[in-house]
Amino acid sequence: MKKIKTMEPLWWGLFAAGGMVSAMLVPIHIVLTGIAVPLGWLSEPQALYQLWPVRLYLFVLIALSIFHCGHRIYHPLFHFVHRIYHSLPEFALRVIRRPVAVLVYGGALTGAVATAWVLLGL
Amino acid sequence: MIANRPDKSKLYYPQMPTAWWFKKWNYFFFLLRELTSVFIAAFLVVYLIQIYNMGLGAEHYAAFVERFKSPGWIVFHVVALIFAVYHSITWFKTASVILTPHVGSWAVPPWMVTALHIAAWMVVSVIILLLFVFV
Repeated sequence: MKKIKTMEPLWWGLFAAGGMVSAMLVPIHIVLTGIAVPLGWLSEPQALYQLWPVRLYLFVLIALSIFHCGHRIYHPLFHFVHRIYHSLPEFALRVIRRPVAVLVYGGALTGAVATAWVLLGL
Repeated sequence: MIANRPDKSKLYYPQMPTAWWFKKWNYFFFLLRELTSVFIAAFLVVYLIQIYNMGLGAEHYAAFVERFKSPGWIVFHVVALIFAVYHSITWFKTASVILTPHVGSWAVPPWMVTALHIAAWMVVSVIILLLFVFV
């Protein structure tokens, strides 16, 4: 069996899935829960949140989208941190890449766990 | 994920000016697109907190969602919506670059791939709206 050399395909695969999920689903959710309900155009169907298929759907929506956001902001954030340290020698780049990655992907993982926790406890 | 990359010191990294993203509109829109993720993530976190509060009792939840009626929160959601729509449209344009479906020997043109994605987006959004209204 071929040895796995890099985890990159996994991250990019999750990134693509999260990008499609957030592109297709996030705008209508903002319209509904953020604008239509507060302005009184619609009432919120709270019974929906009791259904397990809906909770599973919300987990996919929130966890994958948050991961996508984390991946997307990683490079600009790295660039930004890099700007601050741009006078440092080359080895310093590796040193700062690690904490930025931990911050961003750790944040995304925390988001996924928090989503599961909230939806299971509802 | 990083450890197996080629030795960085043997590669050339050009030095970018701090305001590189201000030089061309294309660069600016690229960075703006990356920044949409901040607003989408903020909305998702707010939504998750809202769902969490839903589990804490009806009276508590009613008081909690009352704050979303304030102008500040409406503005936040409108701004998040603008960024989310911008992300969706550019994502579907990107999809047409990445995906080249074939029907027999005919390659589906990029504009049609984008159009089909946008059509699917509209259909999915209407289905969620109908579920929200009628279930």
